[in-house]
Amino acid sequence: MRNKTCSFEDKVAASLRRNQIDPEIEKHVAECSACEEVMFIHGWVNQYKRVSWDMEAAEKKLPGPEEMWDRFHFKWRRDKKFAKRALRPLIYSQVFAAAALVVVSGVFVLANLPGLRNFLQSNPVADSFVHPFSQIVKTASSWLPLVLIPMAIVLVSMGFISLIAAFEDRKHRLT
Amino acid sequence: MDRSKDNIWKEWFIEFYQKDARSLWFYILKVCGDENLADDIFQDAFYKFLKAKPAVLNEGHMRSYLFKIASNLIIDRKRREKVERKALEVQQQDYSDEKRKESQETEILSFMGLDRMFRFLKTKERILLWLTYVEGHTCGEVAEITGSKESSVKVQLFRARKKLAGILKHDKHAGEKRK
Repeated sequence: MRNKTCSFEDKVAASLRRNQIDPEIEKHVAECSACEEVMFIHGWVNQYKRVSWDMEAAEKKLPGPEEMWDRFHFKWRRDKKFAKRALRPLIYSQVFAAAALVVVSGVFVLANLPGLRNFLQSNPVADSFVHPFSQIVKTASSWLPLVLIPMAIVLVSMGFISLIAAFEDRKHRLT
Repeated sequence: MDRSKDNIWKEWFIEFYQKDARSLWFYILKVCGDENLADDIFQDAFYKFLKAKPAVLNEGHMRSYLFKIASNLIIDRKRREKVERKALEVQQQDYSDEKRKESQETEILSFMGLDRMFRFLKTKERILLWLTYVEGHTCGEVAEITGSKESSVKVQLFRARKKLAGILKHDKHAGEKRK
């Protein structure tokens, strides 16, 4: 089934939008059923709008702009607070992950650059910072390949996240 | 600096709201057909609009953007509603179902006012007809608002028009029969 369309429909719709119907279009509409339908529906929908506007919209009491503005800010602040609370466990794990990243990077650098390690060890101030890393490197290299450390960190942080999430959930339920 | 920007935004919003809020609410009401739901969607639409805080304060664009938010919210709500009470949807769907008996049609249509006739259309059809014929948007603009292709808007608009014309024609016949 194929219904009839007309190439003039857009022109008819445009002139209806402008509220200015040219004689040429008027003549065409009189001869074309598709365009006649466009005009008919346009007229009906607008009549419907006029009638219902007077009955419903004109009488409707809407919140004022200031009220809407204040409501938005109140709700927005509340949503932000909720979002912050919901994301709190993630912040803990992010801090933990960042700290783990620093440790792993230090260990990696010291393990792969012995020259740098020796240079830092010659300086007493730098050595006090480097010493713990050196200890980790020594221990790790003696009985575990270095790649396993990040894996262990990931596993520990996953456990940490689930612990925190469980704690937060319990706290939320209690409050 | 930020405070003055905020003040500009607030002033602009107040003016914009005073000018367009009522027509937006009316659009939502006519498309979703429920005043309480319209109030909810109206609030949500402005919340999303203010949250997005558009950078370009062009009134035409902002108006289209607001109608886009509202249309999406209406479609979402209606979709949710449809899932929730699928069984009760029969009345609103398939007006053009040819299997329906003529006597039933006459009975239903004889009690219809303008509002009920419009509600026989699907939500998407109401959106298209309203945006095109009341708000005066072109098919391209409607496509942008509804997130569809221009060609599919043209087809859907054509079908919606046909369907509404059919409803109005039936109502005319029903009215004549009543006389």
